[in-house]
Amino acid sequence: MHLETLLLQGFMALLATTGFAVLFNVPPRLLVPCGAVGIGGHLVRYSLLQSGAAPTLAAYAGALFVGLVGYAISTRYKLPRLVFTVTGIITMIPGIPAYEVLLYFYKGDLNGGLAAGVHATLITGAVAAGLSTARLLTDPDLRHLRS
Amino acid sequence: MSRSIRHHQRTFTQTELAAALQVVLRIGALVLRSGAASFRTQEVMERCAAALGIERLEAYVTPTGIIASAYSDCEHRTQIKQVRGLAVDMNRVIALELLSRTLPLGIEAAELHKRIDEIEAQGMLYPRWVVTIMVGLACGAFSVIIGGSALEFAAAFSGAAIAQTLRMALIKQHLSPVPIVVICAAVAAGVCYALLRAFAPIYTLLNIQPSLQNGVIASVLLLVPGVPLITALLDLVNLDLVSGLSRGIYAVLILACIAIGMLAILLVTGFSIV
Repeated sequence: MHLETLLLQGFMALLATTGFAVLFNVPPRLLVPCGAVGIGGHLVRYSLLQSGAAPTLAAYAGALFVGLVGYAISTRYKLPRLVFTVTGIITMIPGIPAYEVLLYFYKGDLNGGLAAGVHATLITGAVAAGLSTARLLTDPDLRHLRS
Repeated sequence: MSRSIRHHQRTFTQTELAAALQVVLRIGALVLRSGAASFRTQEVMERCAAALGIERLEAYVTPTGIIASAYSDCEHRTQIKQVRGLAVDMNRVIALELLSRTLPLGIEAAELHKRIDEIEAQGMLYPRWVVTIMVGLACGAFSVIIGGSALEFAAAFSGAAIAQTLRMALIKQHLSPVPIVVICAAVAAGVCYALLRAFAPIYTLLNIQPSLQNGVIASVLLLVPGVPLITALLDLVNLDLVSGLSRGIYAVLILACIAIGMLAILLVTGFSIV
């Protein structure tokens, strides 16, 4: 892995994250922390993928990072964590296989469609599991049933 | 309840209790419509109810409607509020959350309405052209992340920026998300594909391998329902099962709409991304 590739990937993750933060109307003073969470999460996932980890494991680790760092930042600013996590995981959402499903089915390639669908579901599940792990670790209210 | 909520108690007449519940439902619907998960909506409502002097609030939050009952002494009132048009406005979620945390105890319903009006009037923080450019950059960046080159970046940028302009115009016309997403996906993919085709001489000149699909795929990223996906998940982990499932279905529906919009372009051009 070259430093330039990492820098390029980090910069692109910054653009993607802040771009979506602006779309979601995140206040300007929070754009920098949002971008930082996005860069970190993407680089964790990217470097794991490059070193041969399974896509699901990489997505899980990236989402866990986003969830934990998002938590640290959100407690500092006393704000909902959603602001930092939702922008941070945008680069990990497997939109591509998800809309490939229909395209495969259209071509009559049922196996391809099912494979893409299962792939998308697995990655989404991994991102979900990463964020949920972070939440369960840091939010006592979610660990216990509300009475 | 494990979260501590400052309580203020007073006696209500039936009409007063109904008016108090109405403002609680109003703020709940606003938080929900701005993209908050169900448990956050519920918390904001509970804090407001406590500040207003309602003894106990039971709220059942789903993405399309909120049911809430307010109890005070021997009086109780139940109201239903329909919620339509889920959008994402983080600034509003933050402002309403802060408002609910800092309400003075014993505030009157009319005063709370006024404060909500102020937050509702804030609107979007960024001018439309800034949003358009940033969304374009985000989609362009995504094409590079999945392995595209500068040319795919440029094409995905243009496709996404034009689709975003169109989306904002269509939202103003109060069109439903379903047709909006189909139309915008088709426009984004179409513009991006046409540009990449037009770039053909540059590809040969620079001697780079064209990867049209990276551009086309990234150009529709702006439509991917990231917030409903995440909040669906939060709801499920929090055991708000009905809410989580319905949000998840909404996200899948939107993804299918993206695919249908792209399919239209792929049929016309005969190009395939799979």
